[in-house]
Amino acid sequence: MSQVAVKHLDKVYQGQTHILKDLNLEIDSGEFLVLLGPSGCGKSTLLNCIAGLLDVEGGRIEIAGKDVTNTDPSERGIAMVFQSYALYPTKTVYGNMAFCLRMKKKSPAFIEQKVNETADLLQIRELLHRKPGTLSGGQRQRAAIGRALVRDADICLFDEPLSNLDAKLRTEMRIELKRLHKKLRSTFVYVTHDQVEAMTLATRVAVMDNGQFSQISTPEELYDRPANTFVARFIGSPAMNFVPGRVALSSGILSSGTRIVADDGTEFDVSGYPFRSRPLEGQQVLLGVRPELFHRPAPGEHSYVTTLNLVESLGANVLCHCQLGTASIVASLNPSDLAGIGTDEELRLAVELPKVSVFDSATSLRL
Amino acid sequence: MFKTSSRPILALPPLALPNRIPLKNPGTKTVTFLILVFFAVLFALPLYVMIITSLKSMDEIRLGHIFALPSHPSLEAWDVAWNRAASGFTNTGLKSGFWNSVLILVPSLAMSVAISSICGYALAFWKVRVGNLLLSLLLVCAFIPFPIIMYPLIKITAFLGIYNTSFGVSVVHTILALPILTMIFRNFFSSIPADLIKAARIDGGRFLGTFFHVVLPLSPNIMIVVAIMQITGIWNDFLVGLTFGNVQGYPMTVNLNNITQTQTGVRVYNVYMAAALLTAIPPLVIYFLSGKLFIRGITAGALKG
Repeated sequence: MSQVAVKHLDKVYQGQTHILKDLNLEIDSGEFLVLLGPSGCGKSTLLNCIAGLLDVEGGRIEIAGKDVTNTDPSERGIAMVFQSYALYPTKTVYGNMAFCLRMKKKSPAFIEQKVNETADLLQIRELLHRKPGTLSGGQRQRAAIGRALVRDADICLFDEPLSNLDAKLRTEMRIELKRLHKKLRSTFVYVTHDQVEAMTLATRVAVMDNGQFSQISTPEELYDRPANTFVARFIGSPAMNFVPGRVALSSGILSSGTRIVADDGTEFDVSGYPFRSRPLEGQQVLLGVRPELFHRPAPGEHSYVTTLNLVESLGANVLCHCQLGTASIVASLNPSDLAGIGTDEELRLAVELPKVSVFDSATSLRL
Repeated sequence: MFKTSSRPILALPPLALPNRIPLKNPGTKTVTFLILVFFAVLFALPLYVMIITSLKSMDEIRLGHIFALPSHPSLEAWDVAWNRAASGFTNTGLKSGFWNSVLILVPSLAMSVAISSICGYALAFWKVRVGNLLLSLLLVCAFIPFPIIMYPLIKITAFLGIYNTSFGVSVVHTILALPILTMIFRNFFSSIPADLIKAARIDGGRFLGTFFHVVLPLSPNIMIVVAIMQITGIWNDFLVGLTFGNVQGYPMTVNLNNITQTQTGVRVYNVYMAAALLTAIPPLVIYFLSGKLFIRGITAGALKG
């Protein structure tokens, strides 16, 4: 049974701005679901609706099978970590963590035991008597997570919890969150605009664009088989290369299978590509190629002639900005591949064609 | 969507005045200093005259040297003003008026702060039906002159059976203060990060729980500001006390008026001055004790943490 179900959810701000449009989402128990999208896409709004901090204009929200659309946030069995931490500044860390239990009228002994347990889990035992103002960013983050975990909620909501931390700390906390999720086995719903966080943390990612889901799937699926050009562009750094062209079904020079002919006449053999439906002859398409699908051709392998414009070295690999016909592409190669090749010289590249993505130019959807 | 400033939420805003810019030109410095001294003397002069007059005997006052220091300073006039001066029908001095004022002040202060802080909190954080309209109405109400609503208020308090009582005076003070205090509290609370209130809601804090456990601990500064405003305002009030109080319960200001407005016999200026000073002491003490806090409180309310 799904832990959280969002059904036909609509959110309208001030009667005019349609933030969330007919959203449907099911989150299973124990999942780590990441809501990913650019700023303003509605991901935080959706999280706030699930939390009950925002009223919705249409649809329903169910938690553990119960309709909670109009239930108070404190009775939804959720915990939440805010981007700003939102620690109560006049209370100690202990007071912050104990607050929700005190509001639930738990016994002092129970509260003390529970807070100490949670503090041990997050290794913040020695911070318990300190006020948030005296803590560092990372310590505040831990305290905020502690406050969320102390109540044993089945569902934890995270609203961009790591975006106020510096890069190193963010990586550490990311690993810690993943470890925590593995240990607790509760349902995590996590909002971020950082694709690295989404790819590394999530068991499933819901990519949002303009108040709608673009794709909901595992990180691997999202990366290898993006459902549309928005997801394809948004996920992956450097971004996927796009080559516009037409579908050619009749036999060509190289093979008799299905090909994509770029505007400049370059042909890509996509006979091994798993088309969802049979493409039409002459259909306008975008060929999407991840930078790492390019490689130096093996002897006898079909390859394309490109001109090397610029090289960015990342250490483990190099990013080659090349000109392939009329299209500018970025290829990720091994540093050794470039031996003896300077800029403005010819670079022959082969493509792992079965792994490319093909999108319809008109609808932007994967074919 | 709900991003607050990236600055962490610290305990309380730093309570410091912005650094003052030093004057460099010695000429400007001197002139500025002289102008300030001139106005300071100008404003302090009446106070000086009052104090020395209250220490003189009537014979010395009749000489007419109002700026001269007393030749034989005596606190006799202060004793008379406090204990024995004739006011209205009695000769009990100011002390009865003092206690009446305290009796009016304490409930007024408690009621106005309690009600307006809760209303301001509701308007700042909770979805109140037609909340914005209410806020505009409050703004209008804050600027309605008291004499305009005096008569209806008399009818209302009479209907409630509290007209001519000290408590009635307190209630009227509370009503008159509510619009402006509610707006002050509402604006201060608006500067508290919304995420804190959201966190409290998820933690199970209801309307009052969130107010007492989260909002109130953040508000000592604004409480001081409002308390000072209310204490001085209510203590210095004359009209409400005169209109709504009863003869035995008149506040100190009315009492003072009755002492100084006696139309027969000698005009005892030394007693009048002592009485006026005695009446002014409580607000002055509040000012001197909390003058520093007062300024800090204002900036704390105006600037977002």
